[in-house]
Amino acid sequence: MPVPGSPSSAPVRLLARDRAYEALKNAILTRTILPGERLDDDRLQSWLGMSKTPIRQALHALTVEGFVETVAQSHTRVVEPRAEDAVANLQTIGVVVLGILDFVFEELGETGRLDVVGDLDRLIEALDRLDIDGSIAASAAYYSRLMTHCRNSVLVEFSARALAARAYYVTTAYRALDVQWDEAAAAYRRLRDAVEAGDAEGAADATKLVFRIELPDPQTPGKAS
Amino acid sequence: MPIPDAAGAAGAPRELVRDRVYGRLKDAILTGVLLPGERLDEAELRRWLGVSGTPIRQALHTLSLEGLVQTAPQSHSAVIAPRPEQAQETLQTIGVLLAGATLLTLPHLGAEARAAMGEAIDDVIAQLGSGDVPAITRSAESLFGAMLRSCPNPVLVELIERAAPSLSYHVSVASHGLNADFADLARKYAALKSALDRGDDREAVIATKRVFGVPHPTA
Repeated sequence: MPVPGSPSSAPVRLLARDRAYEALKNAILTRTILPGERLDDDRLQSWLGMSKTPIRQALHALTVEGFVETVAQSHTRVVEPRAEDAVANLQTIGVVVLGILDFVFEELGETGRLDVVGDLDRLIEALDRLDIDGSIAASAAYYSRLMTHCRNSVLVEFSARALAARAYYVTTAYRALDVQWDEAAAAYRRLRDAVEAGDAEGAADATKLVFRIELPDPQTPGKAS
Repeated sequence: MPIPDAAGAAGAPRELVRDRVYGRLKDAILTGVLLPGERLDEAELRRWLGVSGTPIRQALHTLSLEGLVQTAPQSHSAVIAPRPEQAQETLQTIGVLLAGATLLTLPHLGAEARAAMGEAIDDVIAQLGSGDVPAITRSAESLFGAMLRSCPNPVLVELIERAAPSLSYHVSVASHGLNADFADLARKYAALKSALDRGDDREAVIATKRVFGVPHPTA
């Protein structure tokens, strides 16, 4: 399901801990390590070629972010997202995307809007093809573009840090469930048209549909202009 | 600053040393025992907390992930020194989260809860009139805390409760970077109340954004 991926803007740092963190997070996001998979200290040490301490620190950071969890007897494993939490996670991402949209919409200008429409066309195409990897990649492109246009750096940093794990839960849940392709494509089409028309309110409402957020006043549906 | 308290992080029965150290350091930062920008010397912390270096380093790492401590390779750690120019952006980030909570909560909010919220807003407006900053903060926290208790999305609530202490610290420590106009803020809260009274949820979400200075392109 198309949700914002984490932009891979890792700071260039040389600490072993940070290298272990990046390698592990990347392995989780690319599904080299699968949801629910146990993370064994010894195997990680030989894989990453480093000692226990930086690996433990990296695992701790991933735990704080919500990618990794500790279960009984201090075994560590990749979080296995529960399908029933998918909508709550999706809405939470949607709340932040709506905020970013508030900052970005006016800034985009005509060229920016055209770029966004192009991103959304590629996304809709992938959804029409029922192509899950393609739609995840296309949505990542769309959401990174929004982020790069957002001039509130605190909000951008916050979303990258706080939402990466939520996006992972949602994509994992959607891989396990049936994606509502038509519904998703229809919501993104509505978004695309609103962006093309420069209709901020329409874009926000379409974004609410994408993220399954109830419109605040359903009795007056869409003030399409 | 007007954001809710973190959920009672009461001690689990068998707290890890790391978690205890983390809790004490975080408290010390949030209550101003450790000052913004203050250097965190490991040897000093070991003496103060009576623990070894490992849990201290782990706690500092967690606090750096939360944005309360800054660390640099080959260097000492220090309490974060929020920059005044970021106070506004941080306040807006809080606003994005709370406007989202408002958006998700209002469709599920009955008449009684709306009335209670209206009273809480009256309290914020009264405190803004008095100009007493800690009282303003408390009243706003209680307003949005009530909102979060009614919020049907536990994931969003947890995200906000976890982010709140650090975001709120960044705003309050650097609040001289904000041009707080209490009379203007009181008018914005009054608009929020009036939207709630009318049952105009769309306008109530916009009013929440205005309280926190979040732009609203259609406004």
